[in-house]
Amino acid sequence: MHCHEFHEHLDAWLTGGLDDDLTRRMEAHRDRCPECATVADMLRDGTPTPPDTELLGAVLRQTSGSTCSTVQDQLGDWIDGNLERTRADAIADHLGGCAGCRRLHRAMERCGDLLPDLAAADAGPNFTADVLMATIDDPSLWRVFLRRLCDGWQSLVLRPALPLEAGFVATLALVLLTATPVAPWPHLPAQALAVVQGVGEQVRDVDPAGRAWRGLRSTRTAVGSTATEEADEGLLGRWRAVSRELGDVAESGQGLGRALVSFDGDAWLPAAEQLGREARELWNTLRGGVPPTTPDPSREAGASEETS
Amino acid sequence: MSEDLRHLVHRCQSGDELAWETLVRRFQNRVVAVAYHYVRSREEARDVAQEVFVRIYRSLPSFRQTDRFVPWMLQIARTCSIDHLRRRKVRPPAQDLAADELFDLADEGADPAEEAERRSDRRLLERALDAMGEIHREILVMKEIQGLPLLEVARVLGIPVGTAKSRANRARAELARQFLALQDSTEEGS
Repeated sequence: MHCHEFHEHLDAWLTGGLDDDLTRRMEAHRDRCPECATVADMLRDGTPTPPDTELLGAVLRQTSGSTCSTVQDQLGDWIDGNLERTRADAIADHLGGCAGCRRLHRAMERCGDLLPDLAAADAGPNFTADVLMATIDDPSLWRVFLRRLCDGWQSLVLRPALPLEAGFVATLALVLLTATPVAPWPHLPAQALAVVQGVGEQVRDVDPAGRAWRGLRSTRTAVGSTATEEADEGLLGRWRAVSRELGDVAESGQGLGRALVSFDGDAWLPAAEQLGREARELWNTLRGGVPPTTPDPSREAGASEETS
Repeated sequence: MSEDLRHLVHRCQSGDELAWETLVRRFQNRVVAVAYHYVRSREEARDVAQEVFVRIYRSLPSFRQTDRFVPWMLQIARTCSIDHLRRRKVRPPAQDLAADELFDLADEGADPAEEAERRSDRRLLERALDAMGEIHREILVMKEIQGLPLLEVARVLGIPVGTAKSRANRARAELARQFLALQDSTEEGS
């Protein structure tokens, strides 16, 4: 019997549909031909053929593309049992045929086993004591007050709506103070505008204090001031001193602002004290030094008689 | 959250100093670990952790959601770590030996051979974590390392739950790829 004849009668032979002579010939050929015997055994046992992964890969490449990236993105959920059954079975099938994804799955399980080891790290022997010193061991009420003030300030400035709220409050205050029938300073906007316009005319001068002073003087002339030249010069000197003090106050204020913005509670107090000192000096400069008045001719005559 | 922890937090809020010390001791190692995963320096991680506990101490009297103490604590740790990085502005290189000492909290009952293999794999894992992007690393720190549920992870990181879920899955796969790559390069070199 040849192989083609064996295959022709194979189905009938397996189901017992052949006569005795043909059955003997089929059995003899099976005993002689290993290939035909293998085919007969597979058909008889119902053994599934192993999947042709090369064929599968070729089909996927020409159609939807490789599914490995999709499977790898869902491996975490698959490991945790968070996928529906059909999806989980599909991933299990893929893992059965893909060595790369199987290796990745084993690595993910190993990493998942090791990651909890990294949950706690050695804080050192003095860590708790250091924390307690920084928290509980802080008896000074003044420091407690400063800390709470810093915390309140931090929570205030970190609010996103702060600029809007500050602008609203400032606008409301300005309207109440200057623009209502009972406003205490109704002329403040006009005065401020006059000063700004006077200062703006002196932009090319080297001496900023003198420039500002001359602007103020021209404004005073415009509004009918009767101050004398000597009084003006005395005031100019004080104005320059005030300008210097204002610069110091501004610099201290900037230092305080940096301490506040950087939330450094330890720097806040020294910066505030420095600002207070500069503000006191400015106040003393503003209060001190009466401007020189118009010289008295009789006094000058007496002085010249004494010197002579 | 366990009843024991809830009770401990309440005692701290009442001003019990011993309860505060107990709370610090219980969570100090976790906070240092979280800080280390951001700042990648042992000494700076301890400084950040100290700052975290100081902030917790100041905020504890006004803390109301006592059931969420651990996620709240980890959120403060994340915030302080990020603030520290912004102040520092430069990220130092990873210190593998320091990581070994930092996380080498040995299991006394473990088999020595298994412990040695585990320690070796943990070193590879640390290097794999360091090779990852910051976004994926921090979600692994919160979800896989610190064990927060997905909802809390999303709240701590300020992202939607769906984003947290997909990001966590991709992060786990990326970590495994990095781990395999390091394993292969180690085996090639040996």
